[in-house]
Amino acid sequence: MNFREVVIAVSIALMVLLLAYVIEAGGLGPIAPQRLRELAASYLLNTYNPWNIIQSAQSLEAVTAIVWDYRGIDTFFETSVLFISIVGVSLLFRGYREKAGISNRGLSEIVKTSTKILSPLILISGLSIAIHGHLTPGGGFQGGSFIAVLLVLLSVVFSLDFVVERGLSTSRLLVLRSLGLLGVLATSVALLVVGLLTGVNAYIFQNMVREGASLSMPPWFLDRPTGGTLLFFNVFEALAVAAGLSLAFIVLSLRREEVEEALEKGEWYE
Amino acid sequence: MSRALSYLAVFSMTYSFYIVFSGTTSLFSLVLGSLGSILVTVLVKSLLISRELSLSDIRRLTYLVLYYIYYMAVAEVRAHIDIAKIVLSRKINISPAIVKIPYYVETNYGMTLVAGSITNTPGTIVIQVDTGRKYFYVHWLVAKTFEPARAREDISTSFEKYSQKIFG
Repeated sequence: MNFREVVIAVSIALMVLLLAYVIEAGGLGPIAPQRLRELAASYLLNTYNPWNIIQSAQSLEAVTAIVWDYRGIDTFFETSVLFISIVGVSLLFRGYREKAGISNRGLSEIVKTSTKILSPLILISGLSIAIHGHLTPGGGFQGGSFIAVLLVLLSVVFSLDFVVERGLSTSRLLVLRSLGLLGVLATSVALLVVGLLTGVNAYIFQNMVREGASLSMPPWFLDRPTGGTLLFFNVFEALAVAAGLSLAFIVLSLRREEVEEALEKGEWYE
Repeated sequence: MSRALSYLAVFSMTYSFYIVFSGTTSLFSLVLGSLGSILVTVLVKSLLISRELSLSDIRRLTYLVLYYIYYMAVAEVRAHIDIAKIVLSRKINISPAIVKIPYYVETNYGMTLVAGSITNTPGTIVIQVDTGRKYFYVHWLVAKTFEPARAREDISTSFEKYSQKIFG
């Protein structure tokens, strides 16, 4: 240990100590404000509030309640934006044709076998994150991304051929993606449709009982709250995101043989 | 019958993992999770199972549990102590080398179990597998021999004995 190392050690220790002192003394301002703002307080108070259902989402997770209930329309358009971007990706590569038998090597047999064992576990944990989106951190988008990892793993470990042979073609993924989005749409207008049919007042994106609208999504399933629409939103969103991200990944990792025709066509358009 | 058993095997693996992962036994989670597990089972069954199971395979399951206990309580501990000795000694005495060792299990699952066991014990790592000629290439921190058969005795015989009985 020479003099240089001692100086470095002492100066790092000093830096940590001084920074800690500055933060402790409030030199950087309060780390978190002492008082909650009114808006935050009202969200925290009403996210799960069985005594004031008119303003409540009956969800234990404030973030999910804000994302899918209080600001539901905003989130709906966010989901649509992701959909449009995926439509854009497949439009950019239009004319490609998925083929099997181009390369079948992938990684070693050890990795393949381990991935096989992992695949149901990845799927079910993604589903679990989506199902519990209104109870714990997570939700449809997170669960869907989790599931999309499986396709990335399969196509790297086994090759894209394997995925296509198993029937996960991009056109089928697009159908799944659209089904998910239709599910989100159906959930958001479900109560409105029921209201129109029965002649009762109801809103778009209505979740629980609201002022002057007595319809409500089921607030409980067995022994846990469902957050009304939130459970359905999360499940459909998971389907939509999983299929959408998988589709984008496949399209971006197409092999040369598969896009050759598309490229020729592109030149022809020029 | 045997097909139903295969589905049941995949389902119970998926569902028990789900319960541990979600960390709750509320009815809400159990019911929705069982639906999800059924869906997942239908999707991945053909990927996981190449030979339909039969009731006599329960014997193999018992060996799997026995192997788990043996591996975690004996093999793993022994290897950790050996490596800890090397790490903590003042004069580090190692002879790292890559050795070739044969394996005789027939199924991919068996081979993966042996390879995983070798890699998971400190001091040895499988870096390549030749499934055609049935060889592992293993990086060995304290190589005692380069002779494939004798290296196998030192590294993987006990793993393979069980793996043979579990997966064949």
